[in-house]
Amino acid sequence: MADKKKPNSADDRPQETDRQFLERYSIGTLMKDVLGKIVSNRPKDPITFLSDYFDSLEDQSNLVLKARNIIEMTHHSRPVFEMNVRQAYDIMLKQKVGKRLYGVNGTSYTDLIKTLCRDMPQPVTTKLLKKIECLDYEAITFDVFKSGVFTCCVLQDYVKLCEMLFNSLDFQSSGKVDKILSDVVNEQLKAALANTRTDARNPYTGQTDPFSLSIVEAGYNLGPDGLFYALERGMRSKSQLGGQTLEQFTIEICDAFLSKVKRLR
Amino acid sequence: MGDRPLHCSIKNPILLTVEDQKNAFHSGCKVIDVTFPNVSSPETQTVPISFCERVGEICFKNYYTAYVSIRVKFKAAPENGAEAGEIKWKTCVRRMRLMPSPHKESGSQDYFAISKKQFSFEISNISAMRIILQQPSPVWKEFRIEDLRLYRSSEMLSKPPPLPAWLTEDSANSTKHKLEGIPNLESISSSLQELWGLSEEMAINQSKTEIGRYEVDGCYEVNLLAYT
Repeated sequence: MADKKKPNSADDRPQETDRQFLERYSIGTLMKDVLGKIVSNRPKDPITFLSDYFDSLEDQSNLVLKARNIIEMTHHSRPVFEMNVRQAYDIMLKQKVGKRLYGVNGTSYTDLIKTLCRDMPQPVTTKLLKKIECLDYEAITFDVFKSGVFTCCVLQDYVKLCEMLFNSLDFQSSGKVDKILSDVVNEQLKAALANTRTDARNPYTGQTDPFSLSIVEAGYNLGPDGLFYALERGMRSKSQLGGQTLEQFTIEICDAFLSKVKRLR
Repeated sequence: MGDRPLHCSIKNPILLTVEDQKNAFHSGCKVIDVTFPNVSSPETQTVPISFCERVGEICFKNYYTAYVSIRVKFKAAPENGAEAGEIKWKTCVRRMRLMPSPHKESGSQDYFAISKKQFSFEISNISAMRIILQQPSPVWKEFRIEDLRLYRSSEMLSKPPPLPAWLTEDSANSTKHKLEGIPNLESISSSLQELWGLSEEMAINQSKTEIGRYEVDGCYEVNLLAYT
């Protein structure tokens, strides 16, 4: 009898303990969360996404890191990005700012921007912060928060693209790009960005049009033909200005991007 | 027509009629008076004079006018003692045909520019101008000229802006571009265009809300603070 009972009780306990065990650690909710996030964010590499997500669960104490992880879950071009930014803002709202005062102030906002830009060269981050940084005591509204975060994410893409451009200009794979070439390329890009200012004056009609002929002209300057002429002109000058490293190149190209970032008022 | 039109006052066209109590008929002739108001300084003249130094070109859009004549009145010359009271009108353009056939549509809504070559004499120092419109055909109920403009000279003083490079580019040449030392022009170009696109996307999404800083030119402006 005793023998018969023992196997029975041994069988019963594992079944209940399984469910109880899972409920004890709320694994069910955790799994539901992860699956929900995977479906809405649709990452290209779900396994890496999963591992990053579980890694980040340990950073629960630091609200800024938690917010950053949520923001970086998806690419900024997807509509889910805005929802993620809203979620990140809600998380950061729990930050204690003063006595019984909770919200997003300048310090946490600047911290978030800095961690988002951790892969970029330092001078670029400094220049960006000069334009969009907020003083410690200022309250950050969602609009400003969203705009700043979006700028950082686009800048991340921009810096990666700069590296690709550097590699295609560096056809001798020497690790350095001719300064003449980089100057020409930079000039063309700046001209294109200046042309498509929203308050640009159309030189042919003298009126202020928002996207008009200037876009076509800017596009031509950046196309293979316009680029060819500009590079030819540059190479004809035959002056030796030395080479530029990836970091210097990135800093210069990012100048064009940063010129379009509006200064906060 | 490089310069701006002359400043002049164009009056409404007046239909000339020959009225009788029994017979009133549509004469088919209208006159437009053009004066050149010039505000002269109060010390020299009490009466505002109207004169124009030179007219080189007359441009307008036709609306069913068959013939146009232009008469000008010269500034009264004070030294001609005998003719001081007489002011003569001289015909500058005599019955210029605008519509090849007044009953038909052709030329009825065309744009015309009468240049110096068509003037009988050079128009200089005139005090007034009359433009006489004639439309003998009874088919058209209404006729006039629109958008009348006078220009000082008809010579092109400045060249028109050169056509942009992308318009004059010959597409046959574009495939032959090969720079020594740069094998990959296409990829450079496409990366640059992507960079451009990213920057534009960012610029469009910039927030327009203000944080509400009391700053003018980067400095704290005390005057912007208020109790209310």
